[in-house]
Amino acid sequence: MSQPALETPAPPARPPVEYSASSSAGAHRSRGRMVAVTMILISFIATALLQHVAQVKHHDMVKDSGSEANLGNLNSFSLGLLLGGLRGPLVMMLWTSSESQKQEKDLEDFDSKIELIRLLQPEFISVHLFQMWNKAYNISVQMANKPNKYATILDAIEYGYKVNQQLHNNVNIISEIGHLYFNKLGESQEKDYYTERVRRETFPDVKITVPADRVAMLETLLAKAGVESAKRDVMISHATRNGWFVTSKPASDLMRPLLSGPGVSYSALQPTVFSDTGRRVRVDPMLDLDGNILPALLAGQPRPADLPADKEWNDGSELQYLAKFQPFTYGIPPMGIGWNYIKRCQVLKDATHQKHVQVSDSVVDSRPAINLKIWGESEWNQGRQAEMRAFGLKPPVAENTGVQRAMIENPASDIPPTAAFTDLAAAREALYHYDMVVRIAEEGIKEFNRHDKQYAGADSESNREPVIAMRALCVADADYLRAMLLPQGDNARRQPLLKKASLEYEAAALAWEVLMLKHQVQPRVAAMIPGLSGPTGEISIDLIDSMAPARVHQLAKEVVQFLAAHSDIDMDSDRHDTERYFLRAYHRLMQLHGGSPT
Amino acid sequence: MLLSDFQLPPFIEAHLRWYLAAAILVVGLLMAGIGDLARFSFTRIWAISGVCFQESIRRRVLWITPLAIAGVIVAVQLLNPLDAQDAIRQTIKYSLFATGTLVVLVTIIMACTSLPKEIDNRVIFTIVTKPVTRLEIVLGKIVGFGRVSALLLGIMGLFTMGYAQIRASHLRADARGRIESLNVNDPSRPTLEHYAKFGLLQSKAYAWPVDFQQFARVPMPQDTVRWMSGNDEEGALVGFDLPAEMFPEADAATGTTPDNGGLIVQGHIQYEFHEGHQDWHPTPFPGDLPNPAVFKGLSLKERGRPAVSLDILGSDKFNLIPTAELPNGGNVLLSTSKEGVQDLLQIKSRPLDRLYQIPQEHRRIFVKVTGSGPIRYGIGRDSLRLFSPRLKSLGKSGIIDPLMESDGKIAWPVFRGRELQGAQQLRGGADLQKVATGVFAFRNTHPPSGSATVPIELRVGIEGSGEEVSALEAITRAVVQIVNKQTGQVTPTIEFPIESNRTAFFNVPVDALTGGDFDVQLRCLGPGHYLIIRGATAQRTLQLVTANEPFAFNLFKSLLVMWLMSVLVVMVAIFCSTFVSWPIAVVLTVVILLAHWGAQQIADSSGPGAGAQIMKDFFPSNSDPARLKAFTSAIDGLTRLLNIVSKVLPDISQFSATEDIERGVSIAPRVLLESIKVIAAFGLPLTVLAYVFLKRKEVAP
Repeated sequence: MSQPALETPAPPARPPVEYSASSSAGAHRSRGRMVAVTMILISFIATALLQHVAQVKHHDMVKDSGSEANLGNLNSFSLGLLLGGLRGPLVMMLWTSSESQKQEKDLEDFDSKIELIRLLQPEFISVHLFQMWNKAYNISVQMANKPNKYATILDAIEYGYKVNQQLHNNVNIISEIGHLYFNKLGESQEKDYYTERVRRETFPDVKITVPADRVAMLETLLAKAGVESAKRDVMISHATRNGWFVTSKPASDLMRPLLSGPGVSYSALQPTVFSDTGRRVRVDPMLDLDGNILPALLAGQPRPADLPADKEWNDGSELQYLAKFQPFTYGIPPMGIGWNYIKRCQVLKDATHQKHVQVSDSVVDSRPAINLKIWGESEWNQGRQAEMRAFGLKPPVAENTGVQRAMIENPASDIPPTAAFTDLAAAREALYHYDMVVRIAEEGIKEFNRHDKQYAGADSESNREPVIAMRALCVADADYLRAMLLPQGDNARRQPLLKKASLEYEAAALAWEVLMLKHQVQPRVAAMIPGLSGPTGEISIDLIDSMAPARVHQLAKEVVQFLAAHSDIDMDSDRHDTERYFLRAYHRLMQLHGGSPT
Repeated sequence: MLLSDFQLPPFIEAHLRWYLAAAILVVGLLMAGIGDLARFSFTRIWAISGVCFQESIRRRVLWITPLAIAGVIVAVQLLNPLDAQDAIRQTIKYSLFATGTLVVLVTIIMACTSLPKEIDNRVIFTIVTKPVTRLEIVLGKIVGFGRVSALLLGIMGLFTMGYAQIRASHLRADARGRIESLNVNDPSRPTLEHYAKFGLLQSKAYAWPVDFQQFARVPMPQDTVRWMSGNDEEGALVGFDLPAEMFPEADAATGTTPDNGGLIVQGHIQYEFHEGHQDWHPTPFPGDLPNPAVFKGLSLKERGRPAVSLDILGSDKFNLIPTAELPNGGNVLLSTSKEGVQDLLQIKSRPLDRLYQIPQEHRRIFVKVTGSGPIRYGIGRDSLRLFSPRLKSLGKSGIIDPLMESDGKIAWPVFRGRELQGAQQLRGGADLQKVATGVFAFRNTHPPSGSATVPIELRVGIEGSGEEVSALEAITRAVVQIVNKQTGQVTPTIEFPIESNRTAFFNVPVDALTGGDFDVQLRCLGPGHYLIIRGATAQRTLQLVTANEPFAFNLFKSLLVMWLMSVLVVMVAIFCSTFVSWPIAVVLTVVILLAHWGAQQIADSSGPGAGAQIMKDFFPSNSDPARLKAFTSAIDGLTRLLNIVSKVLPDISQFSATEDIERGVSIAPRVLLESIKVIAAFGLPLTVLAYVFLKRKEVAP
């Protein structure tokens, strides 16, 4: 047997490569992947559809429950998932960091942090309310210069607008926007500066085209119109280069009489509202050049046919409630814009049954009326100042509004109707303000009545009566000025107006006297004036309401004389103001009828 | 008790990390790895690093960069910057933050998983069976992941550069456009002009003042006195070194100190009434002279007399003697006589005993003078002096003169504003002649050559006092003049608007800075406004731009610092991965990197006496005092130990790669040096430890 000892055994045959099988497995895997991807895509689409359906259902369910803001929870939840559950810690970190920056007065990137907090907590109403207040009050006060303070307050309002886009028609946010316009821009220490800017900025800018041959005389014309030197240089260089220049509406009104004719045109120009870094630098233009609210801001949903006539309606337009006060010849003041939002909040509260997180329904309901009263007083104040300028008197600068009001009420009250104006434009402005007071007061009276009707037990009399008296005085002042603005020889029109003013001044004097007797005389003083108090020693409101005007006047005179002799107990500053108001009416009556006020 | 007594000698404690690093290097390399050190080859390290690099690329780490870039672009859209400069600052901040986070995350994950995975899937066999040492493996991995992080940083750096350039050029163009429509008085104009002229991507080097003082009136070279405002708005500090012989030896047996005779502050302080205030009378009303017609019943019988208040401060310029221990609380009516020296204040012996605690050669006190009323007070070099009765009794003159300057002349007093929480107030006003003047002293400061003007930046707080008129725009403005100490040249006033805590820019002619020694005089035009000068000689109040390097170079330095940090991260991660599984290594790496910060936070928050506080919280008040003492001292000892431990842990705050570049400041070489020091003191020893652990680890049969 021979056998090769070192013969290498034949290698075992390799199994044939199953390319087809492998290829088939690959194809199987590929198909599997395709199925998985398709399933994922279908799941995504289904999720999106279901989410949409859920949102619509949820929206329907909470539409009138005041909790519509909870829709935002979906976003917040998604955000939480997206950030791997770190949304809370991230917000906490941003919040702590922004607050410490505020304390250290280092405001670089502060607003970015606030913006991130807003985006991370879209549905937290209290957060938004705090941040709006924080920016408008805590941050703006850290600025030294008024333009920067103003820009910071606008930034707070812009924050509110952004939140309102997400949580549409939320009463808290709308109320806070209104509060910032009304209280922060309209009532703070710097209110005169803010009010002037807001009024100016509610108009668009004005583009004035100037023919090349008239550019040379522009310097003189602009100086004559009172444009300050630094601004003139920019305007002239623009006019030289482009054939036109841009200015504000009030400045263009001053130029119009001086610069007109062939080739000169005035047209509205939309200004840049945001800076190059996206910050709001001015309020949006809200008016056309005639002072009428832009149609886009009044375009809302039509009133449902089945809505009762006495039921208020929010049509969703931005400035719905201001329409009744237009035209705003001198721009819309911040109080006006603020009131619009506060009124909207009131109507939404009733329409959607939302609850304000910080104040009661009754307070939300009463605010429009009270704010109309304050807005009316502000217009009245501006009317008085314009009137002083019209007669060549310089309005005084005072440390607060109360002192200023006391100082401006009567300097122009004894000017006869035959006097000539020093500044005709200022006279027209004063007339505009007085007319506005009348419109505001009439609306205010309606609002107080509405609130009293809505809330049993509410009694707005002590607020309503000053509004009635304010209206009475300003309607008389308006007619007095209107008559004075007519040509001196136009007796046919002047005399009826002056006669009307006379009656109105009498009514105004009576209204203020009644108000003083009813609300501003202390019981111990009333006890000294025979006929003023009832048998119990209390002032009888009903008694005063039923008195003849002559008797009211007699009692008011006795009170004034008594308190003049006893100045140590005359502590009520409101009474002093009231006395000034009916004295003004008597001064004017004296001018209309001769004699002296008794 | 051992723990409570635990304490290292200060010198050892201060340099502990270096000793420890040196010990690890010596023991690890010279004793355990001398053979591997002898076979050390850079070529092999580079080859191993190449494998690491390729592996990382294969694992698609670069795919994360587009995500990070998209994240930055989205985040930047959400920002709400104050102005163009803030927009760029935040863009750079977010870009670099994303870069840093990306690089650190990638390097931690890659470096922590590399070795454990290679051991698990036995890829390590193919390496260790080659003629490479474990030291080369460790170093190769560090270099490899260092290359990966460099690539990531390069990509993110290019993005940051490009994105910042695009944004900056848009914003600069916008600034140019806005300038055209602004009038010359617009408060934002100077800032916009600065942006338009110098651009928004800057990397500036600054010089800062060496001193800041403020005066009621601008000091002139010929003045014999310098003026400070009353109403406690400004104060003058006069320093005195008290001779040793003034203080007799304390009784060693009883510890009582003998009478040193006290001190008498003598002086001649000039004064002048403000314009319109010659009839000033002290009243309870703030501000100007009250109108008697308005405030009925107010009687103004006696004319107000100039009065000063004296405080005795220690060598640290903080209160040494409480005012309660001074006669009349330190308040002194000045003599109406214009001539002669007046005894202002007598300091008794006992209050001065506090100086016994201070070494004899450091017994320095400062007398601080503040004035009252709307009156200016004038103090010269020799206006104040001290008289020591004890020195007189020893046969000397008894007079102690104020501190001297190097030229032998008596030094000028130091004039400071009213101090509020580390800051000084500088009073502004409507009339430039009546406002306070702040003087920033620059010495040996050389502006850049080749430009006609030099930019200076001012950043101050502004506080109001409610004197403004509501209707007026009333922009607060700074008024600056440069006084050259060498040439005597005084520039015309430079006026520009300022806002609270925002940087304002102005330019001064380069000629005014000739010689490098000059004063910048600052006044504020703003009724009722006060400038808040915080840390006047510190950075960011008034800073002169001495150089401006290309932004790209500064960005490179920033990325370099980040790269150094990523190298440290890799070193820590490789070290951890040599002895624990990769998930634990990831956690451990993060813990080690944050441990210094954490330990410091705990040590800082507990501080000395923490033991007593914890004891109060945990034990009833009637517990055994011996046990309580042991507990308290143990906690305090632990806190001390924590402090020591924190010293040997890596301090990643030294890698400050972003703060300077965000603010447009050139990153100083010091930052790079500090980063390298952390790597040397902590990264290198950890690398050696990683090598030692890996060498002892059985990774292949």
